[in-house]
Amino acid sequence: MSAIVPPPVSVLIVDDEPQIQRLLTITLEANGYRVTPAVDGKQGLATAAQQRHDAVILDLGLPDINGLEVLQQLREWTQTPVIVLTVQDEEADKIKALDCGADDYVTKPFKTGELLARLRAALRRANKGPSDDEPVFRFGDVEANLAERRVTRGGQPVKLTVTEYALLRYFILHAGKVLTHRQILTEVWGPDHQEKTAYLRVYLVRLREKLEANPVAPAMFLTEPGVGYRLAEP
Amino acid sequence: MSGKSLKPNLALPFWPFSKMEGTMREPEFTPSSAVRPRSFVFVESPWRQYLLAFLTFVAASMLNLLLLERWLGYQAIALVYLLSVVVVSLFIGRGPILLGTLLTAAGWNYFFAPPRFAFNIYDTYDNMMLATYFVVTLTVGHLTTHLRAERLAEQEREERASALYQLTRDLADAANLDDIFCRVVRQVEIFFEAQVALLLPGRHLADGLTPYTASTWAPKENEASVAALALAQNQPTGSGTETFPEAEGMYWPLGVGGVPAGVMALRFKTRVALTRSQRNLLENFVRQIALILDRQRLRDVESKHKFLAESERLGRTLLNSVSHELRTPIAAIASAASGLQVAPGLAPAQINLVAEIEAANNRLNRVVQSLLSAARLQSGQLRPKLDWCEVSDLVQVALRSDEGVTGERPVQVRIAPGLPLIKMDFVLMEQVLVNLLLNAVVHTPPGTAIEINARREGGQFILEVADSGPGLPPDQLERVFDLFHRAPNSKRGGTGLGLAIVKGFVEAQGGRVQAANRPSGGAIFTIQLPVADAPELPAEIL
Repeated sequence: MSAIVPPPVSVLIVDDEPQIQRLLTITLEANGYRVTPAVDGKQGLATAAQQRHDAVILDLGLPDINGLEVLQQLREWTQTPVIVLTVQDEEADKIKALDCGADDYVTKPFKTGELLARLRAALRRANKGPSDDEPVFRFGDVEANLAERRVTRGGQPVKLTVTEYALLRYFILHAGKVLTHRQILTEVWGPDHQEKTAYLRVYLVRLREKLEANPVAPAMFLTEPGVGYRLAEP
Repeated sequence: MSGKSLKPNLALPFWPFSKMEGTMREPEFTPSSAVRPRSFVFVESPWRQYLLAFLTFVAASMLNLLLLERWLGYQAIALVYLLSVVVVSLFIGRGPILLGTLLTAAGWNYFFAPPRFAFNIYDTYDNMMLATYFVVTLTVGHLTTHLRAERLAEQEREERASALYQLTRDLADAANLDDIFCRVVRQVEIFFEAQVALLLPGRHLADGLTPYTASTWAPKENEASVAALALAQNQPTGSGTETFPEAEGMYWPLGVGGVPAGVMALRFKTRVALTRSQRNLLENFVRQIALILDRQRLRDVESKHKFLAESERLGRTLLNSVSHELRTPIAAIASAASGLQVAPGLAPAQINLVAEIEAANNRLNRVVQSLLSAARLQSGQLRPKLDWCEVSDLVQVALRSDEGVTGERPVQVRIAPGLPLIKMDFVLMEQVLVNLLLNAVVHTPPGTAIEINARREGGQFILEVADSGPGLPPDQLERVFDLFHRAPNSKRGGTGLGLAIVKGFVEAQGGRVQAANRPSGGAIFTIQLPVADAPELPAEIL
């Protein structure tokens, strides 16, 4: 099961709960990561500045500085992938974290496998250079060729409107990443349309009808309740 | 207005004065005389002034006849008369001065000017003397009267100012509304020599105006309408005003601008009409009292808000820390168990044991989540975030949450075609649906189907979760949503929180939820949410 990642990938864990800290350390080290712990926001920021890390796992509920504040300060100088740990009922915090530049979030209580998958996906996206963009995205029998602006399903071309295509393209460019409603609306419709969630809902129904194998039980365009959407990675 | 009868107007609120009779406080006339200013209501009676003028004439005549005549000439005697009139004019009005002048002039002419004991005058010089005498006394009389009026006015102004000052100082010192009312009543009693009642609107409109306990007088029941009229018209009514002047009391609305907060009722001990300055003073009093009342009201509102904010903050802090303490160990167990599950070299029995840990932890997590949701609902800290949601998306997310709440159950989902987007809180509605599904799973036999129906009926969005189980006891239909309520003889496995949370979450979004039994058997839970106006959509879609 252990992924072989030579040289070891270093992860900074900022969490004030010693038990969670220990568990994460055990799990990550067992999977070949090198772990640096930090017990609060200040220490986390200092450690992040002193040595380079490949990824940061950040608890939003820190005793000293708000986790969101730590995230904002980190994002002022580094694009290291950050995965935030949150609890249920805190959708607003999740959205804020994602809008502040977090790469993903995991809701407590989480399964180890889920955290590791999110971490791997975030690292993969971060290590992918701009030129490495695969021009062709495949999911099941759907194939989207961004270079040729061509979308097919089972070999048959799929007709998409301009907006539908723009939305699909944005999803493909951030495959695997949670995108907040606000981020998608700003990117596809422009900053004046940040609040028009209805647009997004309607277009998602359209895209699912055209591209999902079973539009009623979507496997491609996944809903992140109260937060946004995520395009499943193939 | 004077034509109006004093019979109480039935359309106006009526107050139950009879209730108050026993609690009336006796007036307290305790302030020192130094503080107490001269009464305004008392006016020196004119006939006493005339008497004084007459007595002065008699006294001066006696003095002249019996004493001074021996040494002075008759012309110097006139000067003595003049002196007496000038002195007495300091104390009396114009009319009495004229009387004194006439009497003394006649007296001098009769008793002293030759020919004595007759009203004729031969000497031209004496005639001139008499004429000058009139001019001088009348001028002096006029000047002194004028001076006295000025002095009186000045004194009155001073008293008014000091009365107001006293009142303002008293009110500023008052600690609370009760204190204010007591002080107001006392001050008004002192300055206007009247009994005072403060009438405030009752808690309910139908109660009408109720005299405040500090009042020293209770207006008769038949004057309730007069007081109510003062409140309604924001104009003084009753005795001494144009509206219902026959009334026993005078009723002043207590208000600055806007709607008056109550009415002050006065019953004057002497029923003399108020002078303009007295009326002004009363008006000033009323304004001051109204201002203080208004200030006090604002202060009360503010302190109430502060208290609420503080208790809300406290509740939130407590909830957050309890939530953190409960969730952290659950997160640790979940993390450890799931890590163990994929660890290499575990025996099948060990894998099963770890799965049991995970299952128990999931259940515990659900209970904690329910408790925290219920606590959030109870503390009123739930702020639904209503936004456009797609119903089939919602149903799918709910069915897949917690790794499939319905397990192996067949679930039939029917969503009416063309159902519009609905404005709701996606996360809350997901929880609502999950709770209803869990409820159905727990209370129906394994393998029986669960149905989810969504449609629009008029202006309402209808979401139903129906099962094919034994249904609900008919007498429990209303109570299943009560917090911690569990149907008698129901199976174990449930906290009595799930449906209460459903109700709370739905109502927080402006909807309703009902439980019923299906004619074909099984329970059905129906959620109704209002359908908002269709959202604005881009032209490309339409």
